[in-house]
Amino acid sequence: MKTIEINHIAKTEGHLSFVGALIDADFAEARIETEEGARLIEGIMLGRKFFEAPIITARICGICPIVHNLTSIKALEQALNIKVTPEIIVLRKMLINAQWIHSHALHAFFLSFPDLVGISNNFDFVKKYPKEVETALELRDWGVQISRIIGGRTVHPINSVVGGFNVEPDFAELNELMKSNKKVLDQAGRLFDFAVKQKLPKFERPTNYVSLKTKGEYAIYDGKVLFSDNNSLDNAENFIQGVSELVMPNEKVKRVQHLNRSFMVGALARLNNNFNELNPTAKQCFKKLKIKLPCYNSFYNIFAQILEVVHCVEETSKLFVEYCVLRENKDFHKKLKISFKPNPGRGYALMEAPRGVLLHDYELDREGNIIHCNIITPTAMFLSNLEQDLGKYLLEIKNKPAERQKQLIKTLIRAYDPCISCATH
Amino acid sequence: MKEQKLKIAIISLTGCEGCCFAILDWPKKFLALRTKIEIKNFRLFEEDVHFNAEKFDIAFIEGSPLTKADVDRLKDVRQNSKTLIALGSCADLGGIYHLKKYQDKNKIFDHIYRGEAVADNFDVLAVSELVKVDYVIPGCPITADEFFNFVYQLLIGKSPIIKQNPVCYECQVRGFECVLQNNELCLGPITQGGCEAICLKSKQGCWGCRGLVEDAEVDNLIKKLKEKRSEKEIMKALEVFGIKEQINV
Repeated sequence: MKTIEINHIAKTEGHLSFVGALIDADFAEARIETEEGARLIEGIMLGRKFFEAPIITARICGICPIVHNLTSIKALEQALNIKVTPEIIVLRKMLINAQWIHSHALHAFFLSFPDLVGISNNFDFVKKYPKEVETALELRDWGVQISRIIGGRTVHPINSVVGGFNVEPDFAELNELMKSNKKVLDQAGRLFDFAVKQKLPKFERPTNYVSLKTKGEYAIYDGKVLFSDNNSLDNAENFIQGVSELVMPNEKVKRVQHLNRSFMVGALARLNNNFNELNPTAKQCFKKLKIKLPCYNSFYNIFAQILEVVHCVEETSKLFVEYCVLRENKDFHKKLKISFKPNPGRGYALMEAPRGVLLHDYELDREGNIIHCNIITPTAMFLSNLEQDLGKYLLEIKNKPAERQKQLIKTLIRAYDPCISCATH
Repeated sequence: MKEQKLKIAIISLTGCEGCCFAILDWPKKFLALRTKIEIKNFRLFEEDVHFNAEKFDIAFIEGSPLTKADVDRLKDVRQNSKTLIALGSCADLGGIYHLKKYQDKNKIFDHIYRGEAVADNFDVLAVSELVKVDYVIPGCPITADEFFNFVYQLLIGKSPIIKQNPVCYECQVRGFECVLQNNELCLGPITQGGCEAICLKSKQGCWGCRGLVEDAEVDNLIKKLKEKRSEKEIMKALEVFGIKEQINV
C-alpha cells in the first residue's frame, strides 16, 4: 500500500494536512486532517446575550466575517419575530455581494491561481503578472470598500445589527464608489478572460450540488434549497432536519451529510444550480469556458468563483439602483432599523457564504440569553465531498511522479477554497 | 555591498486570520514592503514553511496558541527571533475566544461533539502567558495603519509606541454621538485608542478590543454604568475582549 502525506498545506484559510493511501489498483482513500485548536464558539455563546452573537460569530473567520454576522442576525431575527424592511434587505445583499467579491478575488487569484501557473510563492507571482495582479487587487478593493462603507469596517462588521443598521451608510461615499462600477465590471471581465486561458486538470465525479434557489435572482440572501441530483426543492427547515453532523475520531471538524450522503456547496454548485439567474455579462463570459452544465469537475470551482465576481459587480450596481429608489421614500431613515423586544424563541437561517450554504441556529430564553447555538459552515458541508474527490483523483494520477501528484492534490484541495477556521469554529 | 534585508515572519496560530486580511486590505503598501524586508511564513502568500530554528529579526504572532503545534511553533519562533510582536487581540489578550474560560470547557466540548470526539481542548491563553512579548499591536482586528507604522519604525531602528489615548477621546475629537449619554454600554473611556473610535462611528458602544488604556479610571466608569445597568450586564461586557482580566474585578 502506497501512502501520500502533505503536512500543513498553506494558502488556505486555517490549517490542514492531507493523508492519502492507494489501497489497491481500484481503491484509494483520502482524508483531510484539520489542525485548528478548539475555540468552541457554539459553547462559549451559551448564557450570553443574543446581540453578542453577530459580533462573536463574525470572529469565526476573517475572510468571510460579513456572512457569519448577517446569518447570525437573520437567525436571531427569526427567533425574535422581527420583520425587516426592503431597505435593510437591499443593503444586506450589497454587503454579501461585496463579501463574495473580495473573498473570491483573494482566493481565486492569490490562493488558487498560482497553482495553475506553477508558482508557489506569491511574491514571484506578483513579479510575473504585475498588471493582472494590480487589476485583481483593485477589483478586490472595490468589494472591500463597499463592505467598509455599509458595514462600518472592512474586517468584522459593526454597523449591521439585529433589527437592521445602526447608521445610514455614507451615501456620498457609496455613490462615488459606485460611479466606477463600469470600469470594475470591465476589469472583472478582463481578469476572467486572462484566467480561463489556463488549462484546468481533467477530472470528473458526479455529485449532489446543493445551493439556495430563488426565482428571478442568483440566490444569495434567502430561498429554498435545491438538490441537483434529483432536482428537488425543499424548504430550509426540511434541509436542516435532513442534515447530520458526524463526529470523527481525533478531528475537530464534523463531516456533514444530507440524508446520509455527501454533497457539494459553493461557487460551482451555485453555477450548476442557478446558471439561468446569472447577470448578462457573467452569462457572456461563461460561453468562453466552452463547457456544458452541470460541470462535474471540481477544479472549475476556481473559474466559477471568478465568474461570480463578474456577476456580483453587476448585481451590486442593480442593488444600488434599487437602494437609491428606496432612499427617496418618506421615512427612509426610520426603515433602516426595526425596534423589538426580546422574547423566547428559536430561529435559524441559511445564507450563501462565498464557500456555500451557511447555517446559524439559535434558541433564546425570555431575557434574550442564548440557550442553544449551532453553526454549520460550508467547508464542513463539502469536506466529505472533497475527500471522495481526492480518493478518486489519487487513482487517476497514481502513475505521475510523486512531486507532481502532491502538487495536483494541493491544487484540488485549494480549488475547493476550504476554510478550516470556519469549519472548526 | 548589498544591504541586508530585515527578515520578518508573520505567524498565524489558531484564529480567524482577520488581522492578516486587515494587512492585505492595503495590498499596495504590503507589496511595497518587499523591497525593504523579506517576509517569511506568511501562509496566505507562500507554500514554504520556515521553522526549525530559522532566524528572524521580527516575528508577528497572530491568533491563539490552541494546539500543541501552535505552542511549539510559538516557542520555536520566540527562541529564534530578536523581536516578537503580538498581533491583534487574540495574541494580546486571548481575544474573543478566551470567553471559553467562563464556561466549563469539558462540558461544552462534550456538548458540541456529543461526547464522541477525542481531541485536545486547550485553555485560551494570551501569547505573553507562554513567551516574552516585546510589543503589542492591539485590536480585533488590528488597523493596517498601525501595522505599517510599526514596521516602518522598526526598519529605522526605532521602538514603536502606541499613543495612550482612550477611545473616548478619539470619539469626541471626531464629533461622534456619545452612546454612554444615551445609556448604552460603552467602554470607550477606559479602552486604549488608536482605532479612530471606528465602532462609535457606527453607534456601537466600545467593548474594549484594544485593551485597557494607561491610567484608566475604571472605577469611575463602572460607577457611571451602574446608574443604568446591572452589575452582571457590566461584567459580561468587560468579559468579551478580556478587559475584565486586565482590571481584576
